[in-house]
Formats: sequence, C-alpha cells, structure tokens
Amino acid sequence: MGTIWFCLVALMITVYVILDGFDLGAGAIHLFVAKTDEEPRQILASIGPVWDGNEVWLLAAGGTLYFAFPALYASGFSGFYLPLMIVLWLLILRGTSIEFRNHLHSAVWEPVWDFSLLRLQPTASRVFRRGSG
Amino acid sequence: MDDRRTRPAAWLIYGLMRTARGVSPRVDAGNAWFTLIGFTGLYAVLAIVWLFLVYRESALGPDPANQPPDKEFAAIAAD
Repeated sequence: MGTIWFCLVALMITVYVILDGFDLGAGAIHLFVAKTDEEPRQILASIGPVWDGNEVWLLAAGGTLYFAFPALYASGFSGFYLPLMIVLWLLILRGTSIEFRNHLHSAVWEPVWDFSLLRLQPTASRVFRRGSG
Repeated sequence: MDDRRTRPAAWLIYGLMRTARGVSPRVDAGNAWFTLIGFTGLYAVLAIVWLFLVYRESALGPDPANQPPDKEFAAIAAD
C-alpha cells in the first residue's frame, strides 16, 4: 500500500515539475524575448488556458502527502517553513498578475504586474531548486 | 481546579491533543509573525486592487458593442 502511495506522490510531483516548469519558464523567458507591447501578451496567452490547471498537480501532491505520509509532510513543511511560504506568496502573485494585468491600460499598471509575474517567478523556481537539491 | 478555566488554550483537540504537542520545534514565533503579517499585507493589497477594478468596471458600465442579441432576451423572458 505504501509503495502505491509513494508512486502516486512521485508521479504527481513529476507531472507538476514538468507542467508548471513550462509556466515558470514562460515567465522567466519573457525577460529576454518580449521587446514590444504585444509580446508579453502573447507569452501570457501561451500559458493562459493551462497554468492554473498545471498548478493543481502541486495541490494534489501536497494533499496526498498530507494523508499518505503525514510525518514527511509535517517535517518537510516545518523544516522548509519560510521557503515554502515565500513560494506560496510568489504563486499567489503569479496568479493575480496573470488575471489582473490585462484589465487596464496604463503606464504603471502593466509594468507592475509584469514585474511581479516575470521577475519574481524566476525567484520561485530558484527556491524550488534549492529545496529539491 | 477546572482545567479549562485556568489554562484556556491547553488543548488543540479537546481531550486528545495538548497545545504543547502541536508546537513545531523548527518554526519559532518570529517566523509565524512574519508569515501572518505577510499574508495579511498581501491580501490587503490584493483586496484594494480588486475593489478598485470592480468599482472601475461598474462605473464604466456594460459594453454596448458586446450585448446579447434580442432573440436571446426573448428566449430568457419566455422561460
């Protein structure tokens, strides 16, 4: 039984890393490829319909960890308390950036959300890498 | 002495789990304050931005170019 749950959690984490790695990568690559006003919009559109679905794999992995391996969940989330909370804040900011950005045209509005989406997301990937390494 | 009156926060789950057993040895009070204030601040900012957007959207009103055709109104009214 434990082996089955282990395989399920491993599968969920792997699928999350692959799928959300694409979303985080789209955020990170914006720094180098988006030159015109139109291009940030195109990058957002490329992850627009799928990014929140991809994120559910992380929720599923966390939930499965909580029920199947409570000791691992407890020690992991206590030991990495601050890094995981910072990742959570960055994921909240990512979601709101994607949703809020195109509601308003102004000299301040879009750059602010672009900053929170596209400069802070590489930080989230970096924290993830530290945590898994 | 009544345990509940003298130590109001003695139980996390009454009769089952003491508060002391729910304290993480790795997360101190400073960390908890930091994240509590962080979450409060983040959600306060997001609430203000959200209210601003909703207010602005309502003040602008519906887009006349993006209205459903009259046929649909008639179908809804007939229901």
